[in-house]
Amino acid sequence: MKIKTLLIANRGEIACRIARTARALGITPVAVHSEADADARHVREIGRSILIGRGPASESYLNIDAVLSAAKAVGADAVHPGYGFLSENPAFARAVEAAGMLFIGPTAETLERFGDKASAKEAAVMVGVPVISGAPGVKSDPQVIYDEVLKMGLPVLLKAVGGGGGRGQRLVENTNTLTVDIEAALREAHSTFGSEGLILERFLANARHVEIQIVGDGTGTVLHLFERDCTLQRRHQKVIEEAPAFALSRNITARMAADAVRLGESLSYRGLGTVEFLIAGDAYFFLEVNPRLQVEHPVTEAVIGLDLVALQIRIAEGKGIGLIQEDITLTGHAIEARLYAEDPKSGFAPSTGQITLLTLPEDIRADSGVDENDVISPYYDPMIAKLVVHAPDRDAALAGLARALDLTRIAGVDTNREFLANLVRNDSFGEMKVHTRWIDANIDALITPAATGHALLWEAVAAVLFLMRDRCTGDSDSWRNREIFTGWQLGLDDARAEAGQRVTLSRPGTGGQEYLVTPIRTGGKFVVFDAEGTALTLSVIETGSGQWRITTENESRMVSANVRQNLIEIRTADECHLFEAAPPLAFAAGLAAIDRTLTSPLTGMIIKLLIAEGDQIEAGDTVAILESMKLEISIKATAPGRATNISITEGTMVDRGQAIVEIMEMEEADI
Amino acid sequence: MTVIKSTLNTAAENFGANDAFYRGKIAELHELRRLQRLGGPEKVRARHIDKGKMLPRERVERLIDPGSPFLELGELAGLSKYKGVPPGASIITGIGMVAGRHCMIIANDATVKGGTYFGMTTKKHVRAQRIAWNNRLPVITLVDSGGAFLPDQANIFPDEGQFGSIFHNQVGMSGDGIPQIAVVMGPCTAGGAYIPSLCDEVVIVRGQGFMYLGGPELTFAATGEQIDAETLGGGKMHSSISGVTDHLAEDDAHALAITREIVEHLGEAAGSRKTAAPPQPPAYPVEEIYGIVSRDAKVPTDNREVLARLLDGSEFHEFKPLYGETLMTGWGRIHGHEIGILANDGVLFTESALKAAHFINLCVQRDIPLLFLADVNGFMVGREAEQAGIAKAGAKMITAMSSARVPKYTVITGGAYGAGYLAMLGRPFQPDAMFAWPTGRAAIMGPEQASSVLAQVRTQINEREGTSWTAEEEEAFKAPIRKEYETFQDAYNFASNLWVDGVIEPAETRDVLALLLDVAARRPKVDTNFGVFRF
Repeated sequence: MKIKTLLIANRGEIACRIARTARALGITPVAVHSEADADARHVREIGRSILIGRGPASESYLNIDAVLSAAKAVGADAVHPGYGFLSENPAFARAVEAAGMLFIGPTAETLERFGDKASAKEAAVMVGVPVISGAPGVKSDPQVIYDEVLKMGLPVLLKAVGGGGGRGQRLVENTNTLTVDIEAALREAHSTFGSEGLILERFLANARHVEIQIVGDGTGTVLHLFERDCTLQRRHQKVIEEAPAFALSRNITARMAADAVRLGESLSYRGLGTVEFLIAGDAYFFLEVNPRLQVEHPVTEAVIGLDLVALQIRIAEGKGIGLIQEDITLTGHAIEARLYAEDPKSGFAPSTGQITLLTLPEDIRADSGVDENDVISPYYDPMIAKLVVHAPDRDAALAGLARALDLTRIAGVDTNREFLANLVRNDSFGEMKVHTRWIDANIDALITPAATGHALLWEAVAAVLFLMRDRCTGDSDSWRNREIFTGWQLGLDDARAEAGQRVTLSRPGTGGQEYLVTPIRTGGKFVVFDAEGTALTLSVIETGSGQWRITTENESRMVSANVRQNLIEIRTADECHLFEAAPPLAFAAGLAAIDRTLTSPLTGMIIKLLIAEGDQIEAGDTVAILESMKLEISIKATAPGRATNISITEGTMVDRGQAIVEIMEMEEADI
Repeated sequence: MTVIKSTLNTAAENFGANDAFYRGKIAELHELRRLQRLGGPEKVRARHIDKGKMLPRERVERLIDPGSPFLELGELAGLSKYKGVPPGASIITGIGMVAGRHCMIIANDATVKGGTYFGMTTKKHVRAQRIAWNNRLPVITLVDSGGAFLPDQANIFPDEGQFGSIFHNQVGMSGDGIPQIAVVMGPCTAGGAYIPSLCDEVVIVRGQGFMYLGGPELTFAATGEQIDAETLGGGKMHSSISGVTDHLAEDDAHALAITREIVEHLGEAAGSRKTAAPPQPPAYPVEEIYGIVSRDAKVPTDNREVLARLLDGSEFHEFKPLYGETLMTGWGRIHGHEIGILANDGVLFTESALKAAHFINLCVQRDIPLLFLADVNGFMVGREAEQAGIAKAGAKMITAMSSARVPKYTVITGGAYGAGYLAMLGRPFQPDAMFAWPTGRAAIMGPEQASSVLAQVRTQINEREGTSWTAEEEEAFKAPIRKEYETFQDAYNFASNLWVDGVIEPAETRDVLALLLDVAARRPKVDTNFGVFRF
């Protein structure tokens, strides 16, 4: 059966990515979206989309009925679930097929089998795939779990039955916290995955995570598409993935691949699947099967030169895999980094808001589901892009990814860009002397920004560029002329901090610092001082549109710069610096005078007093009611704080303008 | 257009000596400027900052549009006049852009004598108002002043051009539709309270700005009423009860932000009436002027070489180059702005004066601003000159120069003496702005001349009285006179007394003039009515 219309039951980069392949195959993709995603990139890019509900995923992307009716409404003959959301939901797969459409993925039975950790493990055991020892079956009684854990010996991993992708896992290393951990794990299993049980597994220390990509035609033929190494994880979430696995014997990977294929064959596996393993020393252990397209599939696509989504569609259409194992070969090395809108400094909390600037490197594969000016909403995964570099060898791939990260510019939201760049440049990772908990153990060092090596230089350039922002080049309007009159004043001899103009600059995610800029006569020469009084003399001269020559003493740097509103991007061939600038009064503009003494607006009588001395009040709270001119007038707090100096009681006659209450600032009040 | 061909030899010994001498002068200027930029003593500045206030210069720098120029005027006013007081007369004045509009900014420096007004302070404030009025610039006054400096009563109280003229000018400007804005950032007592009160729109900083005709002490002395400053004249009171102020700000930055918003709503600013050409540097380095200007008063400067370094592309369309050649007249551009120039190249003869009158007449007819570059010992004397009617010719030049209502500017580049100083748009003829180079000097006559003339008078008296003096006695008589004239004629003495609006470097002269010409091009054209020319 030839698919003509494909409903993509997903959002973000994966929806866009699936649509691209669909279009290339002559299939018309149709998207779905929630109210929060009405203007999302996948809606804009795919071009046709059905609204399926409100922002929360449970009311839209996870709503089987809504997605199904969307598919029917557009006359889709197939549904691609992407990853996450409904991709591993057997009920959904069943419903799609019951409605006469193709479900692009494994059968509902397979999903059921692998959706349950315990049964997945049983399936592996049945075909002789090594598994991690642990208590058999699913446990939901805390006391039983407690006893089992003690019997197994620590460390132990508590895994929610319905969990996956690293979520719903809890490591127990200490008996002191065991009871609490069990309760928390059970609660999380229930609330997040709707399941009531846990699997108990021995925890393997210093393990690597390597997974085998398999593909099956549903009739018994299963091939493997080599492995991916996803050892770099932060709290079980994959951060960087690569293919093939580095510094690992091909003998092991071949055995793992054979095991994975055997497991697939035993179920007549249909479509794409990933069999995950942990490797400890020379031994490997089955973890779980992800019966879907993986986030990190692009690294496999890069090294084997195949489009996995096209393969999925082909299989769904019943055309089989069209390849034999020998056709599939490895070329070079690929690495992917997941770029997220999250703040490493506050525990990687998602950073929501508008992306005011987004420039991704152009010479590599960057799968993204957002554009500049799009909004990262609190409802979904805050991924910005996956950057994938394919190179002849791993060193070149690492270097390419580092450069790609350096040239990536994002503003408006916090990102893990620097964290990723630190990872990619890390020597331990370079030598693959890492394990799945390595990031967590070294997190402080990894989130510390790497030194730029040019103290003050880029700040100085940014400060000067900001002052030049609204000025005109070659202009005969002298007051606006950029080259001759930026920051102009009657001259002082050399670096003098007595007079100048101030610019507050911050790199994304850092606090602002004020810089003083003083021009030296004309010719684009300036002295820039930082708050400590350190000075740098430089000239900033435009050599072509957006191209600048920065000269300090005897060193010249050619940079391209882009100044938009308060964002200043400076790029050299190898580096990118992004600053947010604030004009000297930015913090004061829009401020309102706040009166902390409340006065009576009219002469009259206080008929109601609603606060007492020392009460904590919020701005807008009614403090008292005044009766005057036959009106009851509410006197409201102008600021938050603590009420003090109350000079009225109910029944007091007050004059117009008479002070009745003061609001003390909380800091003051609390000292 | 004709490009001035320079014949300068920068390898000449004389060039090097002049250059070294001039750079010494520039260093001296920079040091004076640095003292003025700093303001009051470090302790006082620290106390000012501790109160949560911004230093006055920072207020100005934050008020103006980021990256825009600030053209300070009268920066050396009061220099060396008052013991322990830095140049600047405790007030900052200058033209800056606020919310895209050219404004005159006047800011009291409370770190210098408490921001009080002494003689030079009032003169500088009034001068800034005059420049604002001439150019129709909104005036923003950042008030932070202890009021009048009582010991200097004679120089601030009774006369025109003193403190009361500040009010008179405010009213006059307001009547002419020029916005007046005040930001009360410190105390303003008695007369000082009228500066904001006479403004269109007033911002006051809570807990910092106070306005009252009599402060708490005076009020107690006069009426026995005991009252604190905030209740008597604080920002809250004035913004909510008296209505003396219009906007209440929480701090300096907030007040400045409000001020920028006020300027945004002053209605549309006038655009330029002129179309300037794209700016071009002179064909020769401007800094070569340092080696051209003669370090020795007795050796004249080749002012054509100077001119070549002041004009865009060194292009000078000279008018009557062969007639009255001791005064160069012609047109050129400065950073694109067209200007008519009169530059001395020797003493003024009858022909030079006639040419000047003719040239000024042409510029007025064509609505082109005038620039006088003064370096002249005066008009020619002697039988030949008098018979040629030099008095008549000089009168024509003065009539033309004095009558001209196009924007007009003076820069004293060398020595400007006697009637030459006056005829080359001296201060009494109300130039729109007037500057001196560090080498500029002006007096009724030169020091040598003055001491000789007075010695001659003394000799005549001696002769009448039948006595005589030795050469040593004569020299002893002349030396103090020479010294006095040297001090008097100094550019810094002129700047200190505000007889010029500033001492500027030759290398920044183009910039200063371009900024002023740009501003002047936005004011309406004023018709010139020439006085009677004596033919």
